[in-house]
Formats: sequence, C-alpha cells, structure tokens
Amino acid sequence: MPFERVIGQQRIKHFFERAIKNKRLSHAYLFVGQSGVGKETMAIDLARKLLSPGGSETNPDKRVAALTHPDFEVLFPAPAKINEDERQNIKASIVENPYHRQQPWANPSISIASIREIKRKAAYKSFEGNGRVIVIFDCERLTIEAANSLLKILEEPPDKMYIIMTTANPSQLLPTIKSRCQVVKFDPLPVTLIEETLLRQGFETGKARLAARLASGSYKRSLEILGDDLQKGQAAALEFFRKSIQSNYLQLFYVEELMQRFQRDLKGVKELLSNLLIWFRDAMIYRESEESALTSLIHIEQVEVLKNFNNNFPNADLSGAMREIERSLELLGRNVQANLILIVLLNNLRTFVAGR
Amino acid sequence: MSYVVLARKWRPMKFEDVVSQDHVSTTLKNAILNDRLASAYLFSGPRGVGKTTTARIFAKAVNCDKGPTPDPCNTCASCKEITESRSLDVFEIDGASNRGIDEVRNLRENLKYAASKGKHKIYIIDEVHMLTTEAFNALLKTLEEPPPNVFFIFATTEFHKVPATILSRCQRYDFRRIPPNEIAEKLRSICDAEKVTIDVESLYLIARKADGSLRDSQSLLDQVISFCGNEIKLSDLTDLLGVIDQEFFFECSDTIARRDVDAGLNLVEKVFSQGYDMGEFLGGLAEHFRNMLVVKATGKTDLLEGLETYKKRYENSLGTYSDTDFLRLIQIASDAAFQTKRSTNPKLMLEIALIKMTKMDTSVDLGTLISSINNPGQLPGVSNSAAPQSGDAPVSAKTKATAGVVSIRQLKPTISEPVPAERATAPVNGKGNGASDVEPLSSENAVVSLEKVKAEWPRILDQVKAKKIHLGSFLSEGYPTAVTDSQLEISFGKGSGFHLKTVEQNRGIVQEVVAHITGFKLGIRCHKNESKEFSEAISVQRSDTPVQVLEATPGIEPEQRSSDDDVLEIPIVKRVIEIFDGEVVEDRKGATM
Repeated sequence: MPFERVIGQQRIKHFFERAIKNKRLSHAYLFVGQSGVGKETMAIDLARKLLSPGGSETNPDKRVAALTHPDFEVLFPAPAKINEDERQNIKASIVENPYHRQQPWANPSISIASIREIKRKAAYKSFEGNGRVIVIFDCERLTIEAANSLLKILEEPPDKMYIIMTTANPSQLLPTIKSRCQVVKFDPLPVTLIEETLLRQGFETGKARLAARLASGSYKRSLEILGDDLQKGQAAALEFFRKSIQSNYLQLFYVEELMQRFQRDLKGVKELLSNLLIWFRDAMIYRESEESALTSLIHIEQVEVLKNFNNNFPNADLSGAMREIERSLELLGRNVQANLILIVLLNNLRTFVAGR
Repeated sequence: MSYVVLARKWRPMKFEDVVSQDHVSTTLKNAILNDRLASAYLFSGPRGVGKTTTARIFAKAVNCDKGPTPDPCNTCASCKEITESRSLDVFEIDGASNRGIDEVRNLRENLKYAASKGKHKIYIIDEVHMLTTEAFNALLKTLEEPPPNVFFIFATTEFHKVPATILSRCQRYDFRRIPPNEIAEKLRSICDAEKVTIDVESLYLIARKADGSLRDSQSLLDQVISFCGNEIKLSDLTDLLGVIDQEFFFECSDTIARRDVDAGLNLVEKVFSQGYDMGEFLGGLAEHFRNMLVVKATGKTDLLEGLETYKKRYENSLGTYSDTDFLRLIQIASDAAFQTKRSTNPKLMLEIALIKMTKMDTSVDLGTLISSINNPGQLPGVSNSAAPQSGDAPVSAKTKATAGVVSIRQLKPTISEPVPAERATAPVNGKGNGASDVEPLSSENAVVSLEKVKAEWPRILDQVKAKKIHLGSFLSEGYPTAVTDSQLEISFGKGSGFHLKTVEQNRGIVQEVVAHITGFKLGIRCHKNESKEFSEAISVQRSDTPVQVLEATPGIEPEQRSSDDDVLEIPIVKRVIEIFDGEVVEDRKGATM
C-alpha cells in the first residue's frame, strides 16, 4: 500500500494517488495541519513516489527515506550557527521516524542562503532524470528574505521540480507564498486511531487511552506525552495553582525553586502552563455541565479536587484565568523572562480565582 | 513534459485577457498607441491579480516585431522568446533573491549596451519591495534618466515598502482585487476549454474562497480537478476545501438556544475531528449569527447571500433571542476567533466560547443594563420599559405582550376600586388585545388611587432602574404617600435629602414610568418627611408586600418634633442644613451652647 508510513489521512492518500494516476500533480504543495498529524511523513513518502516512477511499488527507493537521494533535498528550520554534527542528528531523527523530528531550538529559521542554494541546483538537470523534489519543513520559519526569494521559483520552477512545504501555522505565511501552492489540509487524527496505533506499539491500555485523549489529534504529541510522567505533570500544575492562592513572598521562593528545577529550559515551563490550562478547562467543564456527563473531562481521576475547588471558589473567573495563562504562554514564546512571567501569572491567577 | 498547472497554462498573452484590470490595460494600450511611454512603471496590488502577467505582455507589446503595438502578435520570434522567458532583451529579475547593491551595480553596468535583437531592453523586477535600501538608492539616478530604449517595470505586493524617491520616479498602477463573479466567469471559460463539467455553485464557492485572487482560484480549481476528475460536484468540493457545512452552525445555535453544555462539547469534538480550523469555525459561527440577526432585524431573508437553500431554516430557527443577544453572540464568537489565531490550544478556545454563549443569559442582562444607563429608553433589549408614546404608535409584538401582562397585574388592585365610568368605556387605540385596561395617557381628569400606585410601586422601581440604575436606587428611598390633583407625592425619609434632589431632577423619567405602568399621567412632587414613623413604615414597606402599606404619615410624636425644631431655629444650623442639605442627627444642647 502506498504511503503506508502515514497514519490515517485516507482522504489525502486518495487525493495523491488520483493526482499521480491522472498526471495532474502540481509543482508546489503546501501541507497545512497541526504538528504530528503526518505532514512530514507524507511529504517524504510523496517524494519517494515522485522520484521512483515506473511501478517501483514493490521496491521503493530507500535512499529517499534515508535522505541520501541526490535529487532529494530536505530543509528544516535551524539556528544560523549550526554545526554539521547537529544537522546530521536532526536528519537521523527524521530517518528514524518522520513523526518524531527533533526540534531542540526556540526560534530557528530557514535562511535565504539555503534557498539560494536550491535555486542554484535547480539550474542544473537532475542526477537521475526523474526530477527533483525539495521538501521544506515548517515553512512559516522561512525568513522574510528567504520566503520572498522563493516566490519566483515557486511559481515557475524548472521542469520536473516539485516543492513540498509543510506548516502548522499558515497564518504566518506570506499570502504570496500560499497563493502559489496547492494547499492540502491535514485533519487531526481521531482519538481512537491514535489509541489503536499506540496499543499496536505495545503501550499499556490505560496509558494509551489517556495519552490519545491529551494529544488532541497529534500522534507526535501522544508519543511525547507517553514519554513524560503524566501524574507528575498534573501534580505540578496543581501545586502551581495552590501556590497562586498563597501570600506573595512564598510565591517568590516557589518561582525560584521552579526555575531551579527547569534549569532555564523553557519547555518545562510551557508544559507546566499547558497542564494548568487543561486543569482549568476541566474545572470549567465540571462547573458548567451535569454530573452525569463528566466524560468530557480529561483528568477524570481528579473529580474530587475539582469538586472541592468548585465549592471553595464558586465565582472563579475561569475563562479569565485561562486567557491569562494563554497570554503567559504567548509571552514565553517571545522570550520574556520566565520567572517574571510566572510571578505575574501567580499574582493574577489569585484575583481571577477569587471571583469576578 | 510534466503537467503545467492551470495558473501557468492560462497566463494571459494579451491585454484583453487580463481579468478585471481594464484601468491598467487601457492606459498602457493608449500609451503605446500614442507613443507616450514612461521609462519606469510600478505595478502594485494583491497576490494573483495580474501584475507580472501585465509586465510580460507590456514587454511583448513594446518589442513585438510588428513594432510597438497594443496587440502583441504572440507569433513572432521576439514574442515567443519572451513567452518562453529566454529573450536576451527582457530581463526578469527576482528582486527578492537579487536584492543587494552589487546586483544593482551589475545591472547598471549592463544598461549601457544596446538591445541585442529587439528594439528595447526591458527590466522587469518582481518582488521589488525586497531590495535593500542601498540597492534602491543606487537605482535612483538610472531610474530618473535611463538610457534611451530602456524600460523598467517593478512589480510588488507591498508598495509601501518601496521608498518614496523610487515611487516618485515611476508611473504607479494599482491592480485591483478581482470580484468573485469575474473570477467565476474566467474559471468557467477555463473549465470549458479543459472539458471539465462544473456547476455554478461550485464555481462561486471557489471564486469566493479565492478572496479576489485569480491565481488562488486557479490553484483551487487545479486541486479540485485532480481530486474529482472531470466532473466536479459541490459535495466533493466542500469536503476538499474544508468548507464547513452550514448544518454545523445550525446545530451549534440550537444547542446554545437549548442551553445544553454537553451537546455543545460533543459538537466541538465533532467539529475538531472533522479537521476544521477552529478559527474558521468561529468566524463562520459569527457570520451565522449575523445572518440570524439580519433576518430578525429586517424580517426578510433577502440580504442572505448564497444561502438560498437555508433561508427558510433561518426564519424558523430564530428562537427567543433579541437583537442585542445576537450582537453579543457575534461579539463572543469573533473575539474567540481572534484569540484562537494566537492560542496554543484552539480547541479549548472553542469550548470556552461555546460554554460562554450557552451560559450567556445573565451577562446579557447586565450588558443591557449598563448601556441603558448611557441612553435610557432607547434600547430594544429593554423594550418592556419603552413606553408606547401614544395610542396609535406602532406596537411591536414584544410590547404587545408586555402590555398584556400589565393589564393582568392591574386587575387586582383595581377591583376594589370604584371604576370611573369613562375609564371602563375608554376607547382602545391601536393597543394589542388585553391592554384594554390601560387608559389613554392624555386623559386629563383621570384619577388613579394611591393604593394602585402603591401596589405597582415595586414595578415602577424596577422599570426606573432599568432606565437609569442610580435613579432607581435613589427612588427606592422614597415612597408614594398621596395622589392629589394628578400629582403623585413621593415622600422621602430622614437622611435622604440627596436622594430627593436627584429624583426631583429626573422627575421626567419617573413620570414616564408611572404613566406607563398605571396608565395615568401624574405629576411628580417630592416631599420630605422626617418623622420616625415614616422611616419605620418605609422600612416595613421595603421588606414587605406593598399592599400592607398604612397611611404613610400618621401623627408625629410631639417630643421628638419639639427637640428637633428647637435646634432648627438656630440660624447657623439653618444655614448649615440649607447648604449641605443635611439633617439633624443628634441634638446635644450642652455641647453646642
């Protein structure tokens, strides 16, 4: 079966099979969808199909998946000063499992130099004569200059050159880029499908169920979640919330302790806040829906805590609190100092929880 | 040769084929005809409307073997070379990749050589906004006085990034967004040529989705054709383009109207698993409520565009919402849509928005209350307080209903009253049925009993509050004590001088409300009653039902009066009370004298 590495996404597989059969492939595709739904895997598998025409179904070109095909190029966002070892590490992670590409940097980008390199290569004929495929991961990370210099070749590439781009944030793309591509939308994966896939890989039933639910449609996220200690994350979020009701100077110590624990690793802070967000979401659902219909809760085991919370703070402005957490997450993304964000958040949460 | 996408295949070759940019084509054609060509042009406009295309046609027109002509032949060697972009005289430069000063220097170097084959050299610089400042400045001299037979054409989507000094040396042409019907027309001709069958609704859907850009629409069409083959149906299209089914919106507004949180959450799950974009869904939901509001406000469905099949549904699904409710729903939806764009968890935002909408009722009341402070009596949301001015004013369905309620409540107190003959037979002017009890407001010698006003007092208070919240609370300090000569006397107890004054200043509003509720036009007279009994009576009043009101001002205890009066006789105390509108709280003779 073609595209067998891609989980789900039948509609899209079907679409490309037809396009290949009818010979109506566009030279530029933009894959849009949240992270971890199979965009990158699909891009690589599509490249494999394009570069090995003539019914090599049974013996697909392994060099594409191994990223060693001479006519195949993968661009991914990286910091300006990346050494070759790091680059190889990332490539190795893509080869191993495209769903699990490593992305260890805060604000990587794709530079104009790499685009110029592509344009230079595009001037020559392809090595094997089957054309050339360029895959750009997270193309919203193209710098303004790089994106603009891509425009011309994106509109009128040389014969048999295909450009496949993926993005989770299409709104951050230049409209001129978007208008030159066929946009293919990737749906979030159904919870059941993620659960099945996880089970097939030998994860425990209970864990797989929770991870599939928390992942909100992303296979990659579900794997990440399984890697974390779920209970611990939730407990940390609860602790954070409890501290927010305490007095100020204790909060200062607590934030200091948190910063020590995370060791300037923003990912930990982000995770903490995301867990907090989920907790507040559960609290809101608990408050607003009937006793009987609590299946929408994510942390069903926390019902008692939610009940207590609801009794103690019946007037809490939950949506205000969630807005505040969202804002903090946004600020984190903009490199505002984490300890300042946390202190402010702790303080504000208290007013929100106290009530409108 | 691999497949060429429609946008490239159908790139116009003549000025006539450029869709919807007649203002540019005509000007350029006339300029060529009259030999009045400028040496530098700047084409600006949104993506995919024909800037680069026009630039190429212009190049062909100028360099065509048949001389500069408004209609390039597309058959001569020069035209063909340009089409295949291998002409030696037409330089199409990607401004974004060649953006430095070195490239511009290079370009200037080459300017001095004559055209190799054709008559003119034409430099087309696309995405010119990406040139660096140095590069732009290096161009200035050349641009102002270029060698003869050289033309510059700049194309950009962001002309505001081009320095003013460049702009002033170019003729600028603004390309317009293309209206949907013209896009649809063009797509129709492409489909005919490609032998693809497509229905009108699908065409318009694509045209609308393209948002004014022809290239976007062609990309979409391409995608649809490769998905559906040569026969395109609307259902495939909505599936492919991720257009959200209108059914979802109706389901959504239904669950909100039913105040069913769980169904709402399930709906979110459904929307999410179908892969719709949350922001798009919220935007569509706002649009849906807008449609409902339009139907509600105009009573017609004429203004709903492209929703022929749903017009009846809209009429039937308005529910019990008022106009202001819809405005608030729209507000919540569009706020949430904005937030989802930046949110890390869009699904959560949708959930919150839905819960908010479902639980909205109380907050709406507050909202209308607040706005009613600002402009009393003008809000449709508080329609029951908007008194029908005269009998023959048009009465909306809602006021009719409330009028009915009024009459029912009025029955009780009036039964014990001797009903004046003329009241019973009073003509009913245009009011709804059941409002027959309400007297025409203008009747002068009508009498209303004190009891009746007292019975209606809580309602009067409520309505005054709805109009002006602070006035309501001031008025609640007072109590009606007498009706004489169509004057309603409202007495205020001890310590409420300020309240009295405010009420007096706003007596118009009170008058209006009293007139609306009792059906009689009464003057308002405020009166101060400082006796203890009155204050006690009033506090009893407030806590109790209005029917138990006693005569408000019975005898006054002589003791207290005398002591109070004594103090009031002192001139300075008098002045103080006058200036500060004060009261005597305690009279300690020993201390003051």
